Amino acid sequence: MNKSWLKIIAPLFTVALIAAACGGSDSDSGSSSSSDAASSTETEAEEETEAETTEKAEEVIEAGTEAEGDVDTKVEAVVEESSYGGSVIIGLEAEATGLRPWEDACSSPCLVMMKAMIDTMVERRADGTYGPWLAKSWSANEGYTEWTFELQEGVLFHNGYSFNAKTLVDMFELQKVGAVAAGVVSAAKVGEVVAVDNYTVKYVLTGAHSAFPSFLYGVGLGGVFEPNAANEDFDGFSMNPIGTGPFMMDKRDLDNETIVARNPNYWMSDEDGNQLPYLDSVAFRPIPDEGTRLDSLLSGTTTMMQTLRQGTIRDARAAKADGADITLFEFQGNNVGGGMFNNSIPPYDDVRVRKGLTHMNNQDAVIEALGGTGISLPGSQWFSPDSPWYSEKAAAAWPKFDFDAGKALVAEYVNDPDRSDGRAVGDKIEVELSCPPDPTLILAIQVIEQLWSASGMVDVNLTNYDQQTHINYALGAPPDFNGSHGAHCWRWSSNDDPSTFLNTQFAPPTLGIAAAYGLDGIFSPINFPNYFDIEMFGWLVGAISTDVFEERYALYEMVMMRLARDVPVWYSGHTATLLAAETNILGVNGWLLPDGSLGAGFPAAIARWGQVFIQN
Amino acid sequence: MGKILAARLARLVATLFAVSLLTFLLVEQLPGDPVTALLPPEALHDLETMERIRTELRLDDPALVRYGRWVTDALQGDLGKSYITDQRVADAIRDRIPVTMELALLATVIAAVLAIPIGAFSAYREGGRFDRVMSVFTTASLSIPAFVAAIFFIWLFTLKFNWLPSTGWNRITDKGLLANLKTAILPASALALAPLAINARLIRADMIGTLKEDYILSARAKGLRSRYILMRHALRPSSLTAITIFGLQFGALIGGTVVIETIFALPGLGTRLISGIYQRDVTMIQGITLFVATVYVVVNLLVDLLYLLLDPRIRRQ
Repeated sequence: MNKSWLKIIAPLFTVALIAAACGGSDSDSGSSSSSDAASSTETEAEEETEAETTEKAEEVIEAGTEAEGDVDTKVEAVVEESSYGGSVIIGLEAEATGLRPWEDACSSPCLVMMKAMIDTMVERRADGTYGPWLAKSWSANEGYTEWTFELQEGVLFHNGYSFNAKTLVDMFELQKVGAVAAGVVSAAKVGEVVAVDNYTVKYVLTGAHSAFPSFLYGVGLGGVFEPNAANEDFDGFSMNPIGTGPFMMDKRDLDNETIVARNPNYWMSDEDGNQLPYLDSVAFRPIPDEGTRLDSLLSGTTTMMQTLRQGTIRDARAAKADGADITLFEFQGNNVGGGMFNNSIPPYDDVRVRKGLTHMNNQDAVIEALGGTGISLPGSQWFSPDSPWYSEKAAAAWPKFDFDAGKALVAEYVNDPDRSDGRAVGDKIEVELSCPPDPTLILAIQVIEQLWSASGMVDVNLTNYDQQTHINYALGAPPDFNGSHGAHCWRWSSNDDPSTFLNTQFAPPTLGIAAAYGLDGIFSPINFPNYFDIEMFGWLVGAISTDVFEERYALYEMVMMRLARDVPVWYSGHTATLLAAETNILGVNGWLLPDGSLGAGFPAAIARWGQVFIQN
Repeated sequence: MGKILAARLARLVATLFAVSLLTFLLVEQLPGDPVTALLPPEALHDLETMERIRTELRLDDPALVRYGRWVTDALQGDLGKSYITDQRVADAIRDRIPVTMELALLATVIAAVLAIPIGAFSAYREGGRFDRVMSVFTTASLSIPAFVAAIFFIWLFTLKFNWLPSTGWNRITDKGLLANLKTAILPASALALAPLAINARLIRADMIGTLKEDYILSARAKGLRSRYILMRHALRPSSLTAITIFGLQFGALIGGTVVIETIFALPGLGTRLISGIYQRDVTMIQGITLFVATVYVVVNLLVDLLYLLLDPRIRRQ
């Protein structure tokens, strides 16, 4: 080759290789302290666990969390023989921005990671109730303002410190001011955390909350971290979280791979007394592109993947039908897609418009555009048919697709001389329909646009902004936080206790409205639809003043009926989520709580790693 | 020479200043508040915390004050701290630049290694079958966006043949050069397609001209071998344009890896920049943009200087 070319290329290539070699493998962050603390027992534990196997109970419980169609997994007790060893490599939707439970916003991919290292106080069972985890048991005073929790004993953090009541008191100092936890503290009305004795802690609330333990299921308030380590290195904790979880941080290479290794001192055993976890390690790889994430699983680059997209679930199903050797752990929870109307501005301030537009919205066609036909169940309320809170009555009351009925309602508004938008009688209403720029969402809103426009009474202006801008438009600015949205795509609900989301989302949206109803100071900027009904708010408050399920159910049913009557929001389908895994990876859907009850499985594609194993 | 260098450096500083100001102004125009990006939507009811965070991040200061502070710090080598992750921007760049640099360099090398023989031989056999086939190939390579090529490569080399991994990055420091190349070759190849086609065409065009020069005819008349004539006598004078383009392309590739890094899930600057944009991580966006712009203009400067070294006529002008 010509030497002058070599002269140019060789130094460039050398520089690249040197740069690559010098570049950090991003902290093998370490957990040097945790490794040190654990080292004395590591070999012993390895010897004990070597070749150990155990038979699992043969109980099969149908938890009813299936989506429609060809779904091959349920939340059920594992019947296969578990075994130790091996690693799982899972492709995630995104990188976690941080792993401090009290400080960093953590969505599904982040929680998949965090749940490996951070245990929560309580866990959710397959039947939707909350059961023990780091809290063994709990009780409340009569007014539900003081909650006392008995804690598991003999639990060690990854750095060797003990978990006890004082841990929770110290954690609370950080949670009170944590970017994420402070909001949960105020929503849960926690005023004080008191250590009653070494293993008993009391949460003192500033107001009644009969479902308070549900807040300790979330990592914001319930995620147990080692407060000394957090105080010593506030920023560093984000890269190297110290919890009591089944795995400890081994290596964190941001945007590339995070590896967690088995915690040899983990406090939980399986029901035969074998110490958990079974796996040696779990590697988390953020793979933002949906197609590549699935391809990575199909080619064996990874052994598991998660997705929250119906289109990817459809592709994964197709791959399985074509012979791919994978298991699809599909979960369909309460989370329901759809949208909201900004009830504070015309024409959406009139129920005829809201209800009319909803009647003209063909749910099945929208779900098809989203790629969810046969995957996503149509929504009629904030609870899926599998939820204990689901109401047949509310489902029947929901304004279903009836184009003519919708057209008639909008016509009534359009021809009303007192119409709220101030336009002339007969003029079309103007609607801004907005969604984030996801291809399937755009298709879905195009379906809605065509239907609404076809009525001849609606001018639809389609807009789309990135996710953050979309949220900001709905949030608005102080002091009123009315937002500048019109008809806005949104997701509703979760599998948590209904109080955790409904009470904040339907509190008075502005200080003015709060004052008008004598609720001074009680307002919520995240009442995004700006819809307030004093009677409904009373039901919501009532539902956290009793722990009798039937009473609470009746109140939430009334809330859903009111939403069906006033239609401040609309629904498309419940969001199916997927964890797909090579077929020899088991235990994803059958983990148990310490009391032997069956856990909630894999809601929102979030796995619990402690009881996952690879079948030999 | 000294004067030329000083003028170029002054232009470089002005360009970087303009880039930093424009980036800042553009990010300022984005609707909304970085504080809301820090929190999950369900925590947005906590106004007290939102206000505290805003004060801590000094977001209440006027835009120009914040820009001035950022520029002052940047001049001292401090690009600030991410609003979202608390990571220092300089650390984030340091951790990711090896990946992006390697991708860009590897793509440049692949493009160069293939473009030179393709261009040279196409020129030598102008109008022949090889030239026509390569003309179709280069047209196709230019027409196919890198992300489509990336998806095709994943389908072919990962799903069909299972030769190479579709995602992930093996760092040389952790897993060695071979393992590293295994993860780098597909994305680098996808990136290399367009520069390869451009350079092959440039070299071909230049060489066609060169091959008609008298001294080439004279070399042929002397009975020298074709390959020797091509590589020794024709390629050198035909390579000036290509060198310039390679340099410019390298700078562009640093910024152009964004999509490819996202598809292959590589921990480079592009992935971080995209996350920063989605998260309204203003300091991260500004820091990375400034860095990429710096690399681009510095590479341009180096190419200009190389040009001066290679061609005495330009020096004399």
